[in-house]
Amino acid sequence: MAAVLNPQVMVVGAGPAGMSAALAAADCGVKVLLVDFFSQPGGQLVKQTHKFFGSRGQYAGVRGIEIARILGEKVRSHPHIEMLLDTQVLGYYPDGVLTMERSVDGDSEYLKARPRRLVVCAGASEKPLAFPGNDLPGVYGAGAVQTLMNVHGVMPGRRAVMVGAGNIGLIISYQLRQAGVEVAAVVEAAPVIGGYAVHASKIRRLGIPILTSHSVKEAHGERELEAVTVWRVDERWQGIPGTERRFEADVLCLAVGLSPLAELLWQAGCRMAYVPELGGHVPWHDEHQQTSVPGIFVAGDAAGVEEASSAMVAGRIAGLAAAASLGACPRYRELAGEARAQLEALRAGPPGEKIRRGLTRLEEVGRRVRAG
Amino acid sequence: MSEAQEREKICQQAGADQDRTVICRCEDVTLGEIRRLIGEGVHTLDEIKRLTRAGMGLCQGRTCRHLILQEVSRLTGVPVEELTLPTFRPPTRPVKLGVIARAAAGARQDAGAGVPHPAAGREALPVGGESRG
Amino acid sequence: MFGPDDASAAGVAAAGRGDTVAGTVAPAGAASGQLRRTGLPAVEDLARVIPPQEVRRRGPVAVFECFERIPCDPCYWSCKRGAVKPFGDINDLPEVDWERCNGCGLCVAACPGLAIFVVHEGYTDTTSLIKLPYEFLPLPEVGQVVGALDREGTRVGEARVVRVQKPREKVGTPVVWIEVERDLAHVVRNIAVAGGERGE
Repeated sequence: MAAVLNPQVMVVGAGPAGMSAALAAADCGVKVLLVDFFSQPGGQLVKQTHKFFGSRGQYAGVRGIEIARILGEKVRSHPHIEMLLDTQVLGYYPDGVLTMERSVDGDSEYLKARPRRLVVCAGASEKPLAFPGNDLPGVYGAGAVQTLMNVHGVMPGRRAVMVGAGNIGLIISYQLRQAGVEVAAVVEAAPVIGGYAVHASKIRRLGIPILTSHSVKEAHGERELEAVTVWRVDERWQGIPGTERRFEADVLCLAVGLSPLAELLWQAGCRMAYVPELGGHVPWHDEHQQTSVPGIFVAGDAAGVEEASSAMVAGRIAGLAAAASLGACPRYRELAGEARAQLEALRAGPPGEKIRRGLTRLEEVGRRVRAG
Repeated sequence: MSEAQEREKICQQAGADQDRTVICRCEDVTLGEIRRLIGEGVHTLDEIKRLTRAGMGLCQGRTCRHLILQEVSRLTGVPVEELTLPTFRPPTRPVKLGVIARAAAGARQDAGAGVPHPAAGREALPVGGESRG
Repeated sequence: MFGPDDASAAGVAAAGRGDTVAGTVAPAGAASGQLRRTGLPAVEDLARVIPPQEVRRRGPVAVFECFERIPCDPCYWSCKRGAVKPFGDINDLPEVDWERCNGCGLCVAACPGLAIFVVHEGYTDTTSLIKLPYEFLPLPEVGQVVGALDREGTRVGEARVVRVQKPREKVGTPVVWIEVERDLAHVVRNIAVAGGERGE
């Protein structure tokens, strides 16, 4: 039944950025269609059992799962927001039509929408790692481990090795221990821990070692993962023979970074730039979160991988800007200005340095585009 | 050894370890296969995709694209930002043809009139009309 | 190097043991190289946050083991006594007004980084009291003797559970009060409860 829906604003992804964008636009009186592939809103928040940082405006001190519930209730009860769950966006076509597949009672239906404004908050995907044995059962992306434990209540195994000491690797190591899974070690190829020191200290107190300048050499096992060999790496990230250490483990959890999910933006012809600091290829966007294609906005990890606190604020800016571009947000300048100040504050400290560098690079790309 | 020779060596020496390293898990393509192809002069992502099907599976390249980019960059000396990515085409996720066919047939029958609402059985979508703009 | 007084007497030196590298003194507001590499605060990190001796001996007081500028301020909002000074920049390190802190521990449960502890040196003649955040199941019982762990999770002695503050809401962070050997006040930062560890 491919009726074409005609929302004023369509938001793809009901994570922290998408829900904030939908709420901001809907509060301006605009009719919003919010679409997510999962059966409940929240995006990654639904498995984040840790408390958030940031300030009160972004629910600091509140656990991610609670933020998902709070924002989800706001979205559900908003008269101007219609949410379609279990709905996967399949593509963007040159006439501005998006196609979707929605699962209903074990069956699927095909939907189309032609929104006047599009806000893409599709999030990010996990980066993989290449090493011998990386297809053994027991080798997981960190997100999968978190979903198993915190959404479905399933223990991924008994003893884990974590790869990556960014916030995700550190937080999930802690959650593995909460679930009763032993964590043999956290290995990190960089010479320093990438995540917040408080998260690192938290898992050190549990007796979990963190091996910096180390990476996975090989995963062992006949039918499934039995052990992992790690080794020290030099400054060119090459393994140093003779430094191998072997850990018995039935879970190898990869938390080596995220990259923006921007397929729809590629399809829409948005200008993309390769900015490693933001996770890889990211859509160029301006201070209104608008991409190079007028009417298409982007926020959250899809715009460049960052923390959920900033995703909420950037989502709000995108929602306000989409509404403003329809003439529905007379206080745009003031409201977006406030949000931008919050965003700058969140990015002002040392952890925001990489993001700031990435955004500067993205800005240079934008200048070249305008000049050319 | 020059840098180019070193790269050539990496391609030639792709062996058992590289054949146990999976790059595209949807289509079961290994690092060994990719390195050997690069060694034979296959230097674009599109060519690698067409020759191996890497990136054409369930996840549509979300997992392997990144790894192949890095590998091509490393073994050809071309920076990642200068490499051309394969074209992104819909659908982004697999969809049964029957789902699309049914929708198309339904749309013909209904000829646009009285099309059942996607949220039929629940409440009407408020997104059909536009109150502003 | 140990700060204004004999912090080492209360185990501060032991607290900072680890692979401290000579000559890596971090500028104020930045975490030490050791902390960035290992997750273990160095003596110089701890020396900046451990309250002066007269405050430590007076009664319970919060020790903020927060050494890195990150965007975070729930400790400020949690304190009912205004003991955490207002943040100019959300990335600022928390600054505690020792005269106002009574060691109530509200901030211990509020801190998203689980980085705040309340310490009462000389709780008795031979013991110190520590209030620490504990997000594992089972929660210990009052009176139970549990393992006392240091910042590396190494068992350094025993602790007696004095009180278990369960949060009002299920999603809050429980705070466990433990009594340890007096000199371990700044060493013990975790407990090992028999019967395993499961997330709260």
